[in-house]
Amino acid sequence: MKRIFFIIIGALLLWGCEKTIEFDGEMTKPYIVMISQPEADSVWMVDLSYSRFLLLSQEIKTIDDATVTMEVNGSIVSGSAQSLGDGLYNTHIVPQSGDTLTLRARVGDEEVVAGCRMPFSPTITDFHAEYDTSYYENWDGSSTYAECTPRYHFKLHDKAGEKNYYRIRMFFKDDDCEDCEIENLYFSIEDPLIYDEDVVVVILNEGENYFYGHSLMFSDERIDGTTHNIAIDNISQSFLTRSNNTVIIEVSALSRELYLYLSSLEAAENGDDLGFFSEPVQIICNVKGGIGVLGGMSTTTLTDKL
Amino acid sequence: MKKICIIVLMCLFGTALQAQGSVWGTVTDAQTGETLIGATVFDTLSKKGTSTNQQGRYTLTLNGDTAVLRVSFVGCQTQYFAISTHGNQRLDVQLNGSTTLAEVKIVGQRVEHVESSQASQVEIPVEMIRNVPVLFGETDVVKVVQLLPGVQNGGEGTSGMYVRGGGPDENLFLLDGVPMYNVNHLGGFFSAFNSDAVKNITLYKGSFPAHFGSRLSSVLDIATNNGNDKEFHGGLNVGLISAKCYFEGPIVKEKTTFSISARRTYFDLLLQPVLAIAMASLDEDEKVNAGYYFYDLNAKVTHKFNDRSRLYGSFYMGDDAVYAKYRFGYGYNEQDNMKLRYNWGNIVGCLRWNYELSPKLFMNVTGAYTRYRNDLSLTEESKWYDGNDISLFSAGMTFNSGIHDISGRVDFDYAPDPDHAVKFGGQYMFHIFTPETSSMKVEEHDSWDEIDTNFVLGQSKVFAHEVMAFIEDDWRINDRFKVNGGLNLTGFGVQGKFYPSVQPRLSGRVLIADNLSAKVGYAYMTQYLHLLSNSNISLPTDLWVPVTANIKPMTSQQVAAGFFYNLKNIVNLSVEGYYKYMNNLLEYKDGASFFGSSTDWENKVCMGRGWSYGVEFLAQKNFGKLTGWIGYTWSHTDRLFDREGQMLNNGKVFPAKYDRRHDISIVATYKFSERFDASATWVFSTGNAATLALQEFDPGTGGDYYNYIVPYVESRNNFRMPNYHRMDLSLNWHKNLKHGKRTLSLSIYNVYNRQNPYLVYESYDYSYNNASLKQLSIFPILPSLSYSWRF
Repeated sequence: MKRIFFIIIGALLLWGCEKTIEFDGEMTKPYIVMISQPEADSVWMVDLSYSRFLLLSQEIKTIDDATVTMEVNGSIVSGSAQSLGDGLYNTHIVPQSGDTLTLRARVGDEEVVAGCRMPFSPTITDFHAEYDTSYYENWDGSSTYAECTPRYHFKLHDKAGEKNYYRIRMFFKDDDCEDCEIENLYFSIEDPLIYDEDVVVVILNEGENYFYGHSLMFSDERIDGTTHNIAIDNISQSFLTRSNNTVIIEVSALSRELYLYLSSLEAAENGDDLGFFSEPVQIICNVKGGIGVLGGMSTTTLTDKL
Repeated sequence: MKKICIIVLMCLFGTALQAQGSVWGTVTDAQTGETLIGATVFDTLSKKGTSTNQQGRYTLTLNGDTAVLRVSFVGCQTQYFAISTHGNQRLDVQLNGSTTLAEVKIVGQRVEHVESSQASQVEIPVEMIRNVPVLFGETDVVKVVQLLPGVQNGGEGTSGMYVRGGGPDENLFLLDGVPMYNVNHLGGFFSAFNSDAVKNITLYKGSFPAHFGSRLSSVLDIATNNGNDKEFHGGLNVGLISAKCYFEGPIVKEKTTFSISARRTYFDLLLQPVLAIAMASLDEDEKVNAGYYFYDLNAKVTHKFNDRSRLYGSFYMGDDAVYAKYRFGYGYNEQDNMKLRYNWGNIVGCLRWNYELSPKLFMNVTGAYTRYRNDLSLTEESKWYDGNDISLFSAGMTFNSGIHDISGRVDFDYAPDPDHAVKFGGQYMFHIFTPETSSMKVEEHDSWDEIDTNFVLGQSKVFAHEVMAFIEDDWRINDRFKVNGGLNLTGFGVQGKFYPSVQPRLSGRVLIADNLSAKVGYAYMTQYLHLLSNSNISLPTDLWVPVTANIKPMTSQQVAAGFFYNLKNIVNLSVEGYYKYMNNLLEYKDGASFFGSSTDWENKVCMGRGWSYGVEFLAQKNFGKLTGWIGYTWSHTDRLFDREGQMLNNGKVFPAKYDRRHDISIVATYKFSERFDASATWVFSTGNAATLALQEFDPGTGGDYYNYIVPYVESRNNFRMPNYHRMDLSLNWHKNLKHGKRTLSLSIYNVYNRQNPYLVYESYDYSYNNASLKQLSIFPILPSLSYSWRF
């Protein structure tokens, strides 16, 4: 009897502790999403779409009938952008470093607008590589093969007295394969001045306190006005056993708007690891009247042909 | 001009030139000998009065030849004393606790409500706390305080307190004058204060007197029982989830007393049948045991050396504990043992000496120790036998954090003349913060390896010094005007940096009529501690950290004004408006989490500003068959984080997460007879603000991020959960027994089974390709029974 009594009490407690019920959320109006990340010396493109209410599982709707107007240094550039379909707009405009850009898109009665300044390309010097070559026997002992692990060094000159934002990305290209696409490369950088990871994230990722990924963004907060040595290590890829490959390192200067936008996207993704215990992330946009970003970048490309 | 100055000086000091005499003493309960806090001593001839302090002591300096003193206290029979005011004289008063004249009982309350110079202050009768129905029938001091206007709870069933737009870490909880850090049990569903041990509760929401400091939003001053100095009494209470008991009595009659109360939950016992069912499906060699409990213990010893000197020693200890054990064996060959133990809680110890230096000067010397700890240990041990050797693997992990405070305080009450009651003193507090320390130990011994690894990760201790000096004067300018002005000077030294703060406090009262007054108050407050927490739930992983060289102290300035009215000696009415501006507030950056780690916490927070304004209405009836109150608050609380590098919400104003427009609480107790009474509460509040992404979009990053579609949060706390409302009911049957009195109570929490939202989240059903918003409700209708016996 006593046992039954305890079971009933226990079951009642468990039943009472949690109950999930349907909730009626109010549908909110979609925003115009305008994404444009012009790169210096490249054609300026714009992507337009609508956001969707989170409870709708329909496809994201692109906008192909917008009137897109672009201004460079305060002057409207003649000839509106051409729709390429799928929400993409192409122009003949090639922004330069230091240009001030304004972008407007009108869809019916709605207009969204954003502005940014194109950053100057980062100044990089002393780029050089070191190679560690290891030799291994094939599994059947018939021959040996070499594995080459490069380590890259360069100096980044940060301009004093202004806020600068950077991004480093690495790619790999197989020069023997014309049809092959450029692939992302994963790499590591151990440098607390440009990357200082949260211990929790380190534990969750079972990693160490250094960056490992294919895209590292950082601000000049701790290297302002200095010439900073950067070392790239632990490059992943099986291509290293092959020849006629090119490693491409892109060091980009990002406008503040683009840096904040991309950083918040990154934070949103990392925040998912901690779910309930992390603050929700607000994507930082600079599009007035809508969502998205107009943020420029200028890139210095370093290549190493293996 | 000279004449005007002379006239002003004569007005100010004229009374001091008249014949003066002082009367002083202690007001106690005639039955228990317990000192009464807040009892009113009032001269009906000169219309001057005062109230007793935390030690039940008063001093009244009087002019004229004679005085007729009226001594009153809530629930006690008022007594009158005709005395001569020539010279100094001691008058200790013992008030009887029963009377049939209801209107006599309320005199003291009316006088205090209307005449006090203090705005934004509420006294909560302990009897009312014992009657209010609450969760699982467990009487809870903090949950009753949450029913007052201007005070909001943190969420369904929790003890988190949000006062006038402030955060949960901005409340100073004083237990016998000593600060307590973790005031919650079980994730905040219960407070750490056992109502059996409590004698008096006063809440300050603004216009803080100068002798309080170190928190921005409120002070909850809780005094515990000294113990009956005449005879032994006790009680026992058995409820659905916990049992508690208390004992009090004289050690040496009318000289030394003790009071002790203890409480423990038995969730762990209730869990046993569930575990028994779960274990039935396990292998024979598998064994599981797990549980949770909390307990607290209050003890106090009081010794009266003589009429002028008393010593108090009080002690509190409370802990929450989670434990789990798992044992698994493969016959004789292998055995695995895993153990988890998680403890968190407080220890508060205090030694206080009261001494009357003279009839006009009273001294308090206090030494105190507070400890908050949060300890986790996890061990695993494996043994296996391969026929020849025994191999052993063991791994252990610990996580510790906490605070130790050692403090000393001296304060004085001085009544130089009939119109002034001065308090002054100083305090020094030494803080030792252990933000967090983790250690790991791994041992492996077998025929191949001998591994022995130890490492410690975490921050070292942080030492901080906090000093405070204060002076305040409760000055009765004339029959109509009374002010309480003071200055609180504090300083906090940490990491080689010293933060000084000068905090002026001022409150005043104008008596418009005998039963109507207007009050106004201003307070500047500074706070040097922060609570790192990521959710509305009070988790043991929440960490207290001090300000640093980079994180400045939080400050607030608050003005409050209101009218206080006594309606026909039956109901106290008040309406109060306030505006509070807060600076250097902390909010967590987007994506930041402190779960299990405070490392580098300064980089995870932003500093900004906030403000809150509102109007509070309270109608309170403490006497008669029907007692209770109706409280209503209209308020608005915003945050603005727009500093460079500290920006949140794109630098725009956003509502604080505890911003609630309307808050209503109705509390009523009706005494049908000596044998039966019933209580009911109804609460309503605007839904909590939460951050919810209502739109999603394609970020156009060309696959740089895993999430192809990204949720878009328009602004922080952009979403309102549905309104919250709930009714609770309590029915109490009393019976006098041969020895004492028993009470059988039936409590029903959430009578009409309202499914109030605890949190809202997006849920996706992949089978039907369908997304939905869901809310989690945690407490449906919950009846509970409790039995108590007092003797």
